[in-house]
Amino acid sequence: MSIDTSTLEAYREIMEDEADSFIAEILTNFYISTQNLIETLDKSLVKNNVEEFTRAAHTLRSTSATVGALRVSGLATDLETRGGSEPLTDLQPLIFELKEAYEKAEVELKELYR
Amino acid sequence: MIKILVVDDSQMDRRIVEKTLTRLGHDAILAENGEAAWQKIEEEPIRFVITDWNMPLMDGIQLIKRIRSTTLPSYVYTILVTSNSKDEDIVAGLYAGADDYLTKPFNPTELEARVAVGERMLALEDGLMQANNQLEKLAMVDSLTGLLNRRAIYKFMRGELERARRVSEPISVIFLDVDKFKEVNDKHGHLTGDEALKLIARIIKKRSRTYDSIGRWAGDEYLVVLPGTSALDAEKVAQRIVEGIFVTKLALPEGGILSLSACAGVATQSKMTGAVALLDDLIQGADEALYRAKERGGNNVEATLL
Repeated sequence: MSIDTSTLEAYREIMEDEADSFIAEILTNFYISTQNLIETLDKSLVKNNVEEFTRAAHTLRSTSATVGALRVSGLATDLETRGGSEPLTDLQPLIFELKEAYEKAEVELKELYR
Repeated sequence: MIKILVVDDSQMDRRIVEKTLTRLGHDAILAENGEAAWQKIEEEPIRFVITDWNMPLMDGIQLIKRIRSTTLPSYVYTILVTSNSKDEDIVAGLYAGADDYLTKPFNPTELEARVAVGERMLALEDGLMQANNQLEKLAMVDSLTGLLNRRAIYKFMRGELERARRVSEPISVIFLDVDKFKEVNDKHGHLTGDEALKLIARIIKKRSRTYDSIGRWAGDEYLVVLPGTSALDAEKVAQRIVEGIFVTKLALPEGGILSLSACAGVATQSKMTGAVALLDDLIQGADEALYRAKERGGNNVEATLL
């Protein structure tokens, strides 16, 4: 398991009886937004739009950290940092790695919060 | 409960903060970037902002800088949310005007605690503002009579004189002095003297019009400013006040009653040319009229037309 659930679980106390539905809502939100952000990474790479690229990586870094997808968050951090200084096309393999990590994280999260 | 503006371009992060704040009993309003947030701040009074740093169009730092460089109805407490990346230096955020910061992903209890700090700061500001308003009011009021004090009535008169000149309206002042007030103090004591001064203040208030302003100039001298009032009308008001004082009696604590009377001098400026110099001319004109009224033996009114 590469998921750290401590941040999400920390919301249980405040959300009380709404905790399960809140976590479910956040995860759904995370799945949709990550698909969009990955799409943005692909598109901005093609357009060589560094600002758009690093912003998408930046957002993904924090949303994935919130749900505890630490590997995704780490790769997004690399993309954000390297996107600012290296040619975006060099980062293609890293994006591929991120996609893989995300797919794995999604499966794990769905397993954890069925 | 406090209204908090949550600014973040990530819908997920917005939702997390919104839901947490709502659970804590606050009212959350949302904006997806600094520009949208600024629009909200201009539209409605917002005193608490939690903003993400990295956003398109206008980022968190630009938003906070704009908040700090604009005169808003009250202080806006700001929490800057960072993702702790290299270019997001917390120190720079605080220097830009943020009051506090949170690092993503944050624990909800930390958000709760930081919001509580902000609430405390805003409560302090409220207290200060209240005290300030009270002091400002106190600094304008004559404590014995509750009328404007000399400084405040002078300031009011200056403003009214300028306005009168702008709109080409006349303005009148009444200088009122209690007849033989020293005798009241000497015969009946200062406490009775004070009661007499308070009673006269009430009579002037009752016998002037709502848009006139009344101040205690000194000792037993009062000044009434009558905006937009001609010499004739001002004289009528002065007459009414002087008569009012003459017919009112003050019950003495030792038994018996005290009769009072006063003189009034009226001055009217009907053509406006200067501003500050005219102010003193007006006061002097009323003072001279008052002197003539006193010469005639008390309980009457004289007027000077400038």
